[in-house]
Amino acid sequence: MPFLVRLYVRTAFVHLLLALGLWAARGDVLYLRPAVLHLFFVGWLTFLIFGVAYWMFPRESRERPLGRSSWVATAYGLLLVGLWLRVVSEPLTILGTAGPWPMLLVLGAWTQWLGGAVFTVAIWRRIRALGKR
Amino acid sequence: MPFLTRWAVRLALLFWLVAAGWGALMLTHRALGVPVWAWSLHSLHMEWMAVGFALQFVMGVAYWILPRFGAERRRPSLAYLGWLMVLGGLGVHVGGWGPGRWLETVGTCLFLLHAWPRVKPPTPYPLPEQRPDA
Repeated sequence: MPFLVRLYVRTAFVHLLLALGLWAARGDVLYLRPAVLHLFFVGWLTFLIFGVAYWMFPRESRERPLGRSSWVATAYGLLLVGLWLRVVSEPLTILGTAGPWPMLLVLGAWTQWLGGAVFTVAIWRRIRALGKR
Repeated sequence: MPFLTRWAVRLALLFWLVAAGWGALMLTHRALGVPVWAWSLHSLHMEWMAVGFALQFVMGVAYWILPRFGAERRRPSLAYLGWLMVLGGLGVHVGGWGPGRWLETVGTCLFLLHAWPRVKPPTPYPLPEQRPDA
């Protein structure tokens, strides 16, 4: 497994443990629910799916089998930063805590979206019939 | 990658972008003052993420990588019909009509009928010395 795949998949596993732990410990707390749900859907599922796709989709070319690795690394950073901006700022925004939390929440949401968009562009050319380029 | 996989994966990624973009839009409205219309489509955000992205991606990749019977994926029409019903269900759900979830459920059942026999041990490759013509 290439380094970036291991990074995506291990990050997914850590997020799954965090989400399950948070769900078990404070699942009844309403203001934490969006954060837990996004740890599941973005932190676990999206990171796992993106990591495995980057690993096993058809090679882009002989010279550059895994395609635009720097883009996939950038997508990883954007998704991670966006997710954690969101996980931290969403409960504080819901609670009405003073501070820049609503703006950080918006920033986190759009950073996540940008991460997904960068990954989509990076992987797009590898979604093809084997043997066709 | 077969046709179903290519298009299911492409559409799944596009659904992720639409769902995440819609979620970000909802939060933007929350920070700047919430108009009712943004949150009225909250259920679509979840539908697109769970069914449009996750389920469709898994269906696409499963159709591609599950063990085959020699070179053939048996009963591919079940997989195609199931996938199209899931897509139809997503479309119907966007329109706000009732049977969207049923289309998705029946479509998923059809896809699973296709996939079930493919969840099997790999066909053993005979070692060169074990081949009948060796």
